[in-house]
Amino acid sequence: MLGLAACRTGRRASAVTRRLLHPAPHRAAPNPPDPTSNKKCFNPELLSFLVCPLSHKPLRYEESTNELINEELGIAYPIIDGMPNMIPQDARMIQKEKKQEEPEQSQH
Amino acid sequence: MAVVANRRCVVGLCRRLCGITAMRWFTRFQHTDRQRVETHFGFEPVSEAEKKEKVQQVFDNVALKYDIMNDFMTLGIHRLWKDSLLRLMKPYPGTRLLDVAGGTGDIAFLFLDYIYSQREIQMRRELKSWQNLSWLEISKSYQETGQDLLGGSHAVICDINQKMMAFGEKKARQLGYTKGLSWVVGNAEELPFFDDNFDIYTVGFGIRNMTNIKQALQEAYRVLKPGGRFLCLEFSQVNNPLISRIYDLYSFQVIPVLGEVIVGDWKSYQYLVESIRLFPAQEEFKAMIEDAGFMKVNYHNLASGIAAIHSGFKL
Amino acid sequence: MGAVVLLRRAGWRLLQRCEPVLKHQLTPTQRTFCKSAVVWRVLDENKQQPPSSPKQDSETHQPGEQSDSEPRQHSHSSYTGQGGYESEGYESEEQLQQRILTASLEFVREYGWTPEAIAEGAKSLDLSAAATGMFENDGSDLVFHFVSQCNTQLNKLLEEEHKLVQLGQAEKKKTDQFLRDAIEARLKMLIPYIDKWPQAMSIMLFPQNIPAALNLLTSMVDDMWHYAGDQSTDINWYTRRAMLAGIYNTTELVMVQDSSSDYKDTWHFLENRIDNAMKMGHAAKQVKSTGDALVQGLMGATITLKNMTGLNQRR
Repeated sequence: MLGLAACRTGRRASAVTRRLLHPAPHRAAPNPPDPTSNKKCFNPELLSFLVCPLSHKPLRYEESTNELINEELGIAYPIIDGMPNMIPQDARMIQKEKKQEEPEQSQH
Repeated sequence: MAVVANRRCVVGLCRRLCGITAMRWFTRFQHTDRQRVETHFGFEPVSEAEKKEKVQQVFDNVALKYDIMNDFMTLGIHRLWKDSLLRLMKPYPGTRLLDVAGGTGDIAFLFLDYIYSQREIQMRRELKSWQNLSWLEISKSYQETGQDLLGGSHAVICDINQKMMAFGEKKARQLGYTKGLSWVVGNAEELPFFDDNFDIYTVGFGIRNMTNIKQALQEAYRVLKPGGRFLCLEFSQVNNPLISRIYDLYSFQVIPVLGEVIVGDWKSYQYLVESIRLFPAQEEFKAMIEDAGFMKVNYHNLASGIAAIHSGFKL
Repeated sequence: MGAVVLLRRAGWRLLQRCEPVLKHQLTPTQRTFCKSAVVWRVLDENKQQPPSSPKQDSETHQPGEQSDSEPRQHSHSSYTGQGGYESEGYESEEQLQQRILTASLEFVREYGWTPEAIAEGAKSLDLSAAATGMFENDGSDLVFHFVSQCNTQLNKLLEEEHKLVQLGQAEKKKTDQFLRDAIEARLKMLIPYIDKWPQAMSIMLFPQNIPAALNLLTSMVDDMWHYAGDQSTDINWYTRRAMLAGIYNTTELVMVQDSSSDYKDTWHFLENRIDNAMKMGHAAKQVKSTGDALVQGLMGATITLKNMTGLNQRR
């Protein structure tokens, strides 16, 4: 019983502190917050320094699938909310899928 | 629900009371057993693959309340530590920064603030040297240079946890940092950047969570330009015995409880506290940085060694 | 009773879970092996690379051009470790730092004796501007590098003259003439940087820089007296050096405020001071302590500089 009450007051305290606490007031940044930029687009300028973490080769931006493609290794890195996900484990293989499609087509 | 809460409280109490004793026993057993254990998740022995998943889980849980918890855990002192890091860094306009494990972007925002103020000073100095020009000419040239308030500087934030980065990006938009920032989800042990790309590589309170610290250091060496600087702000070993006792008490007694009360997550903060204890001491970490190829490696203790800034150059 | 048993069981389970930490520690011998491996790798890389890069070219010319003959001791609050590896084809950290400072001297006229000049110097050598982190923040490294370079140049000049005299190809000068020429030659080296020299002088007067500045001054004065033929072993040794240091400092101060063509006023002032000194010497008047003379010279310099820097720059 006491434990429950303590937990409840603790949660209320955390809510209050969360409202009171704001991120540290940085000096006013020169660029005002842009309310219209809710859509998170990939910035192609990133391609000037982004490479595939495995082969260290440049990537190609595929707008249709919103992915960064390494042609050589056949890997596609997804872009989530404008942020490229460059973790190899989260990438998808293109060549395997192509190979799967080809035998299916040849069967038909 | 009440039964679960009670059991959690009892387990929590046991852990709190045993925490310090266990830690002391634990640090005495220093011998390794490669066949059974590859690495550790806090005090728990796990395989390297498991550690990565568990760390991912921890930061998924704490992502939204990371900043608030930092403020409570360090009583706001982490901001001063990050300020010290910036003062040591002294970036010039035109610097390219890579903030690894940057998560919510604190260090990158401080970097941009610093660059803006440096750029102001630079432009004022240029103006002073134009004493003989007319007002029209001065305002024209000011307009031309005024658009480039960053002087070519850019900060890239790289973190393995997408949730932390999403929260950081939202924070950046709210605070008005729209220019000069890029967000990339990536693994510090396999950085997705060209060689010789960045002027400064920083990692703030993130390197202890990496599975293979040596690999991360080698990657840091690879992506830095010649002359580039590696800076690591991390919790370290306290050198004062009295402060060490108080710090142990606070870490094992107070922080997990704060984690439960404020954020509702005891285990994640227990892990964070344990991972601090397992991180190598200042000298050992300095040796690891030197082994990766960095030169002129040194460290500055903050708060008697509770945190330390290690710095090295790629020469 | 039940609670005690529970606690004991929980504690025991915790202890059992506490497996020893697997620390990937290199023993000292392994570390030195790795370091030497790094050196050999660099040597191999250097051999494989075509000798077209500017670094490589300067390395082959390096051994003959050791510009810094006065290694300065820093007192850091943090630990600084690892001297550079000095082997053929591999540049040590100190050599690289000297190269950066030499390159930075070209930017002093624009940026002053500041870390910005060092950043520009590093950039001109295709290094990152972050390399300025290797140097002190007040620009003192640049100033002392320049001063020691000038001292080395002066030493060479005096040695050459001495050789000529020994070979009989030149007449031996009188002491006062010799000292006048030596100080004039040394002060003429400041002419290219005369606009920013007051800033350099004020940097040398910062409390943390005074020991190094005094060291350089006394070594320069020592060289001058050595080549002037001073072989005294009594109190005169100290008085002569104190007197010459005083003359040098005051002439330097006159020079930075001199607006006459070719600095005629300065040389005139120098001539008068040397004459006074010689007369004092002939009258066998001795200064009471070396320290007094130096302190008086420095106090005069400080007061003059306070006025001047108040006009020139605000710190």
